[in-house]
Amino acid sequence: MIKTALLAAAISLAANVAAASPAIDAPAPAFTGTASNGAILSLDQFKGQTVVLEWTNDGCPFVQKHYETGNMQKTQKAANQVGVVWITVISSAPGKQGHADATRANLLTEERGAEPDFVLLDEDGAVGKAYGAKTTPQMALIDRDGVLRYQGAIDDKPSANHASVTGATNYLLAALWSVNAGMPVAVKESKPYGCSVKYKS
Amino acid sequence: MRLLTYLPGALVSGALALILASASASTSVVTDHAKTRLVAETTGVAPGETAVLAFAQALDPGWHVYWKNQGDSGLPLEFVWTLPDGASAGAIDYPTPERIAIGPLVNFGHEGEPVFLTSVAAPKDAAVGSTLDIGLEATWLICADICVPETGAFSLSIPVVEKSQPDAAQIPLFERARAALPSPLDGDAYYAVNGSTLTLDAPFAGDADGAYFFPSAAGVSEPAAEQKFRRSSGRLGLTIKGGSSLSAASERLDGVLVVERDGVKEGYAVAASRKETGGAPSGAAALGGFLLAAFLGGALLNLMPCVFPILFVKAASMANAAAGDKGALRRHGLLYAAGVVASFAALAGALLALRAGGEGVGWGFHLQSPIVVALSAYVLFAVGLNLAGAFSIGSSLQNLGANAVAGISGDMTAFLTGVLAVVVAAPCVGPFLTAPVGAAAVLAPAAGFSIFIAMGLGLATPYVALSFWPGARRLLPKPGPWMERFRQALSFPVFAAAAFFLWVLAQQTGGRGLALAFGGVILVALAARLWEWGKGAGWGRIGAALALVAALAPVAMLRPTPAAAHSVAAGKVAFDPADVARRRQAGEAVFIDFTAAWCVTCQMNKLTVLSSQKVKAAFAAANVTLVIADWTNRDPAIERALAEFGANGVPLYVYYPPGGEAIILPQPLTERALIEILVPAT
Repeated sequence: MIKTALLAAAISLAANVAAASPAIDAPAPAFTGTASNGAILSLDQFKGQTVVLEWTNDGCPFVQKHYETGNMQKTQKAANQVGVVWITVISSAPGKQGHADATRANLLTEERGAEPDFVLLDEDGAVGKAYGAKTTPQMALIDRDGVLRYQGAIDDKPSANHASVTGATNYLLAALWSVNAGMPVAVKESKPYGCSVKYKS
Repeated sequence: MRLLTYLPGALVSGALALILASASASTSVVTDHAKTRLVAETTGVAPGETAVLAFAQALDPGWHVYWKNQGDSGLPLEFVWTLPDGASAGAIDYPTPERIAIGPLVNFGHEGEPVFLTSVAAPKDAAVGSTLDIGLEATWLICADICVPETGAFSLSIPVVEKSQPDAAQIPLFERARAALPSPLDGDAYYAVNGSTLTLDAPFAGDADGAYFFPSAAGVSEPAAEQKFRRSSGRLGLTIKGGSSLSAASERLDGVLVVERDGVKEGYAVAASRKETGGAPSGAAALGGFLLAAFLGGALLNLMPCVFPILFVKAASMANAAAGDKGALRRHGLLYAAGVVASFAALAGALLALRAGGEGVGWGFHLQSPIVVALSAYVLFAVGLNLAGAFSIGSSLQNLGANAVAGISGDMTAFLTGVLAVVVAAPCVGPFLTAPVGAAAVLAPAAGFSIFIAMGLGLATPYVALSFWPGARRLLPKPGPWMERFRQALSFPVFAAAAFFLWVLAQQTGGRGLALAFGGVILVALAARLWEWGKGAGWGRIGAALALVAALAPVAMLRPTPAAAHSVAAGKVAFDPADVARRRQAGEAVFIDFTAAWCVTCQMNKLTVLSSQKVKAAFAAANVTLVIADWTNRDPAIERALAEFGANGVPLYVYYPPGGEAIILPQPLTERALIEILVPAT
């Protein structure tokens, strides 16, 4: 019986590893990685703070839409004002579009006038895969208790057209306000849109 | 020279002018990575008639555009029409898509020269002789490794005529476009959703080397996951890993099934209707599973150290005893089986009688007594010591049995050996019995009874097989020193079982009880040692007996400490009927987990179902208050609640939806059934 139980536990563990995107309203996948400022980040260290993950690729027209219209910066600023830890994640592999080493990542932040707290250099794609990140941009929101509360697109306008930013519903901010107010999140998941994340393999 | 350099340019503008001249039939746009044309199938359109249009693209090699479900990333084609009043545009007919892998992600799209068919209906009151002026602004995302959004503005003026004629020049294009559309299926397709798995069952007569289903809606499947297919009698079945929005599947599932044969891919349009396959096992199917498990468990018992030697002894003796008399050998084999099955039947009868007379106390209730739990731990510990070789009793139980039945006819011996097999198997049977006992507790008495019989048959089968085919004895491993080692190795699972009972005891009685039990366990070890030292001598037996009696003393001192049993993990609430009633009135969703530390089924469910990420997520999503009714120790309130639900033991899982009546979850508890009840599919 005990052996069977252990076996069952092992099987369910394996199934979790194979899962594509993490379960919503469940503990967010733990991660560790190096940020562009040299800091070693792990999700655990942000317990007690709300965390936003933003997948980016500066060469992707969909990302460009949000940065060139100032929409992403505006979202970051709004999040900053309520004390959110904003982590921009670059999962592009070396040689692929959007890849950045620490220097380039910091330069991009400056050029774009972006306000992330950290830029996570995820060139082996481990963090991206743990969160099932498929596109850039793609967002994840983790509450103070480390529970994943939102994942998907930044808004409801799947388009690279700059004009589509006006009138879009920002899913991430809507989720953030709800989480901060202790209310249930209305849209917990959406289909992310954009360019594929340029993973190594 | 000058002329020459200009010449190609002049030719190109000439060609362009030519295209523009026939603008009624087609316009084209050249972008960075694609050449795109909008073409009408006919040279004119009659009032109220629909003109079919082709949006034909020629993509740069290595670049792709997207199907209506783009897969993991990308965007489908987007059309914004400018049409005269009374005209209307139709939907886009996409060609059969392809899987396009980008690293670990898979997109659904088109490469090469895809043609998207669409249509515009002319106004009913359009005047013959006028033109239908169509404006189209199309946006598409085109990607290689990187992505570029492209747009094109197209305009077509189609003459309004009495009777339309196909444009002969465009016939090949439209033929190619229609050939690339998915074909209809020859019959009805069905689909079913089982947890996170989607299964598709489509009619398909030919052979197939591969198959893949592209759902029309995003999120239904996991694009990068392999799909398993099987062919049988004119049908093709696919097992598909579901995506994040699978649970929202409606009455119909649309998409395209692509079947590959000899390197040729053929697409079929699928509009599958939902089939209730009864993913939760029906009563009969579940019983079948239990019976099979019980039979296999019984067969496995033969390998247990308690029983294995019997098989050897009997296998060896039957060669002598019934040498040459095959009939007698077979008769003995069957009698042995009868003995085994009769013993199991007796055991089942006793347990069922106990259940009937239990007045709702249910299975395992005796384990609420810390004394019984402690004694179980002692016995298992002693069995473990025996297996490990710390002590041995006489010349083993088998010989004892053989002596006891000496002098009785061979037939009787065979039967009694069967009974004996069950008796001596008892220490090993314990863990194996948990599952059938658990099942028997929730099934009808007849079903519970048959489970025990199946287990008995399983235990008897190898020996019966040997008696019918004595030659098969050669297949048995030869007795040797390995048996001793095997026996010693098996002491560890038995020690683990003892540890489990001690853990249960700790739940019931806290640290003090555990300390007392450890004292008892040491005295049991002392008894074993004294027995072995004084082997054969009276003082050894007396010393061992005294030590055992001493071991019983701490057992008598065990007292349940309710607080120890009822410590409830964070995020959960201890059972209190008044509290449950209050929460229900407040409109809360409440899930009650009737459980006990000694209930192995409960612990299994906790480990495999209740603790799974999906289930936790479902609990959170439905905002359910999780109430733990811990029956590890006697608790009249829990007993009354169990009786109210008509249950006579744990596990029992009850769910109150917000403002709703109690739902008792079916046993055995499955992740799927639980999630479906917590978060009903819409």
